[in-house]
Amino acid sequence: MIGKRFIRNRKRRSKSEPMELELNSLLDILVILLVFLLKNYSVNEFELKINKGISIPDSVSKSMISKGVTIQLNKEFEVFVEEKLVTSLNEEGRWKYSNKIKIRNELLGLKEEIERMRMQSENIAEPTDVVNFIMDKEIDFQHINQLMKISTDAGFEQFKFIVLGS
Amino acid sequence: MYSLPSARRKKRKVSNLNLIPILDVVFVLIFFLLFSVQLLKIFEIGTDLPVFKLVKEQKKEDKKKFELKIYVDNQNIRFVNSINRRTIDKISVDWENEDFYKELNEKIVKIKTENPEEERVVLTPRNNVEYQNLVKFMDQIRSNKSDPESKEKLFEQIIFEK
Repeated sequence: MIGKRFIRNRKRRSKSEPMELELNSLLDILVILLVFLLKNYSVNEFELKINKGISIPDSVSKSMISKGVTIQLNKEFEVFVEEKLVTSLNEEGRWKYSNKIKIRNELLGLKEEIERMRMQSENIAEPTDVVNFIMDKEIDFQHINQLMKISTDAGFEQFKFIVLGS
Repeated sequence: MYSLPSARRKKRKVSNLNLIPILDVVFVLIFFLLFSVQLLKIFEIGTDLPVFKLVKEQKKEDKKKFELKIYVDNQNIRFVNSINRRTIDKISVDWENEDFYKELNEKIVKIKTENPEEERVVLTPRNNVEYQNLVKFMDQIRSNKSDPESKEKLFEQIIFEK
């Protein structure tokens, strides 16, 4: 008896069709996401890493960032060259000779390395003398001026201020 | 009653579109874009020449009649023709006031229209001028705010002098 009942139920089950997933709504969401991401797609071949605690100034500039050595200065007067902490000024933000020498030596080392790599790759078109300044918007001009002077001493000739597009 | 041939055709089920391959492509694209997305719009403001080079170039250049030099501090901004050292214009500073920037831009546009060939400006800011204010100031020097459709820059080359 039990076996007969089971066979009868199996017949009924086989009649019901498999449930289909409704993918249209999911596809709608994904297309919206795709459009948003395409809009924000960056064509830059390299990216800049901005250290935590640095809020860069706002600007209406639309010039795309270019490759170069990055110097970062935060509100605590810590100077980073290529993301490496090189020196820190005192609490009042006064420049000492030792601070300048440390940054200059770091930049000179980088300049030499860039020149050597340039000679090896024979890519003469690649700029080697660009310095990208990433500095907190509350920093005074005296610090920018000092860093520009040190960079010039180390052989860098072009300065770019990294800003946030508004 | 026999049903008509046309009525028989109507009974056929409409097959659903197979969206799964499209979904696969969209997923792959989303992952690719998520890795390369730039949520912060970062740009640059360039200063093309160092100060010491400018002095050398100036000697080589033909005798110019005009070269703009701007002295910036937190009280005043002074526009000077560095050739004859005469003050062209002056403006009181109020970094927080939008009208100040409007007035500033108007003055720069006026100087540019009087000297259309000049593209270089030498900036001499005081040490205590804040970086954000300096950037805002440079924005005014570079672009014409009264005519937003104009793609021409006012003074494209900005050089710092100390």
